[in-house]
Amino acid sequence: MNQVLYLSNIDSLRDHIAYVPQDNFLFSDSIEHNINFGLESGTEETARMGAIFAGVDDDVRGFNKGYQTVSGERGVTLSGGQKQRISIARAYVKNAPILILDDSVSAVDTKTEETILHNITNERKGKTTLVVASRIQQFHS
Amino acid sequence: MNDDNEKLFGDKKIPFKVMMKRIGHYVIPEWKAFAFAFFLILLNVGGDILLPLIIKQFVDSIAVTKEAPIIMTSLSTILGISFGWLALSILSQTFIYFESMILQKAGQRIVYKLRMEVFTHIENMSQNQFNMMPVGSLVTRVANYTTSMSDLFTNVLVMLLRNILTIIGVYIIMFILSWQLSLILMAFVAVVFVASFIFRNIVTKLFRKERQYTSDMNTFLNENLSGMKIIQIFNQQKRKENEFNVKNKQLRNTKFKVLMAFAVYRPFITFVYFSALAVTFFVGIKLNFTPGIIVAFYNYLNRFFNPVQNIADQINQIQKAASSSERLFNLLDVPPEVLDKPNPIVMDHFEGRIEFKNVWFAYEKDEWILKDVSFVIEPRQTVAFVGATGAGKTTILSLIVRNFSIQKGQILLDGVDINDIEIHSLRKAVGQMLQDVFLFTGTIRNNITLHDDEYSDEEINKVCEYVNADKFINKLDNGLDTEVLEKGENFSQGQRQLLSFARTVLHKPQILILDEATANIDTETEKLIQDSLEKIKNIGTMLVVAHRLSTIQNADQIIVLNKGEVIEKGTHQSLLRQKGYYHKLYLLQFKND
Repeated sequence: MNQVLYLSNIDSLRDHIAYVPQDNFLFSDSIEHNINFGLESGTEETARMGAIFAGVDDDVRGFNKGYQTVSGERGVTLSGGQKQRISIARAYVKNAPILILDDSVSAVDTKTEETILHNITNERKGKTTLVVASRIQQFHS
Repeated sequence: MNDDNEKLFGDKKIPFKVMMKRIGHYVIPEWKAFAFAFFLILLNVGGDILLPLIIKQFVDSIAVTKEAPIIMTSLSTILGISFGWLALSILSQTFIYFESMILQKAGQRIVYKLRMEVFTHIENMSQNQFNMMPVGSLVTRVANYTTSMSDLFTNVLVMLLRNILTIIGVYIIMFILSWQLSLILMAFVAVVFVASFIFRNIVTKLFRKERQYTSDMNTFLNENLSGMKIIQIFNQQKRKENEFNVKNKQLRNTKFKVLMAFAVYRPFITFVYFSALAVTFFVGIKLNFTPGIIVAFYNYLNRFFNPVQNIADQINQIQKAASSSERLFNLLDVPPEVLDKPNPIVMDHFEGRIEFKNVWFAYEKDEWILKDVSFVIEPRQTVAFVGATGAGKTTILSLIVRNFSIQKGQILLDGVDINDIEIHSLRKAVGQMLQDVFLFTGTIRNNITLHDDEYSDEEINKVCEYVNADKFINKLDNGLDTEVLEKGENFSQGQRQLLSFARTVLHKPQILILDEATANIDTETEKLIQDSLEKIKNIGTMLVVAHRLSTIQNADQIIVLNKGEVIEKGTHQSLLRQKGYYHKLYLLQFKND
């Protein structure tokens, strides 16, 4: 997109950017609501779409309550990697022109990491994705 | 379990009788203070009740004729009455001083004990229990609810006792002065009591709601202030505003209802009071009372209605304190999931042999994180745990120090079931270096010694040198005395790692647990860390959740986990030869290293 983003309106700037920060904060709410956080109205379907993108769908469906599983106050019943991937799903679902991943796959194993990087190349064609990476091999794709 | 959850959230109802018994448990050790205060209250109330009688004496002695209010009594009588009045007042106030000092102190001692008890209890709860409990609600319980209980001991109970005694005393004297009028006034008393009772019921419910909503709001604030970054990034301020608004409204509306109840109740009682006065004047004149008796009744009615009205307030405060106590006791009633057995085995030294025997573990019922995990680690071995995220690596490490209890199977340390080992001696022997290093506000020194003063600077410096933390500490102006900001924000993640190494090594563990950090460490620090780990692993048995190839290659044993099961065990070379899961993992993860 060849437009200049003027910083004059933070809200609209933020509307155009989806961001996965280094620390993964989840709300004590269902996984579905956590993933749909950036949407006006999300469904379990939209949440699943994000989860598939982030390679966490299998994990979530493995829980007894699936997408209705409530994460603890800071998402503590989930492992670090699961939190990270839900955080990625949350950013993906927002479907913004720009997606930023700030060292967001550090707690994810290499296989899942590859899935995510693969998904980024495939599903975000035509959109900008910035990846801040600490491991060299992330850049190979 | 459900019952315990209810307690954890503080919603379980405790019968009033049981509650009184438990509060009694705190009051009884202070019985001397309470008894003495009770005695003083008795004297104080006695004095208070006698004052109107002096007024009666005075009025009757000055106005006896209809012609003119001529003073009929001698100066000495008047002086006597005046001084009697003064002496009684002084005495009465002195009693109040001593009584409140004694009681307030006793109350503070009780609350001090209670706060300590709650904090100690929270400290002993398992990680699982913590995860279920919002931090905001815990803070409210330790800070606010104990204060609310303190009000109970220091103010409410005293006032209630004083009021009840006053009511009884005043009524007896009124009865002696005129039993007819007293009986008529009984009707008004009945109205006040019924009104108070209804009022009490309404307000109790409202107060319970108010507490609930306040706690809800604190929890909400706590979570959303921590998550503000996410809220802003996702532009969800409006939504959160709406959510907050709902809670804010709930609280406001409840407060409104409380105000309403009080606004209706108080004027109503005052109205009854004025009606009673009107009746008193009417009946007094009909029955030919002396002016002194009418004045005395006027005084007594005031002394009578005030306490009756206050009692309703105090009952409410008691209710408030009771619902606070309920939530506090609820918390105290949650049995820590991880507890010492009676007569646990105290171990001063471990060889460091660790065995998992068919261990099954789940954070939530039936969602097994570990399935039938078995392995043996010999003393002084270094073992690397390898596997995908969510495979259960971190979980295994946290089970060894009993952060959680396993559901099935056995974990043995030097052949002893860890459930039989005293938790304190167990955790003392195990040094944990976690991915997420938690630093406390304070100095670097305090963060390394954890406030244990037995370590000399020499020892601390030696340990820092050993773990390569000396390089960056020595560069700081204040060295070991450098202040650490909240959560250690003024140090890089690598530096925090090194500090946690120093902390662990200083406390001379026999078993070491390391959850290797994966990200955000610059190459220079990374080298220091690796170098440091090479040394640390000689201290004792070492278990590592490994992410670095070097750590894995140098391990005596590698345990490969997948979805909570041990799928392969062996050394780096033997596992590579097997060409199984580890081989695939290795190719994926480390082909580029």
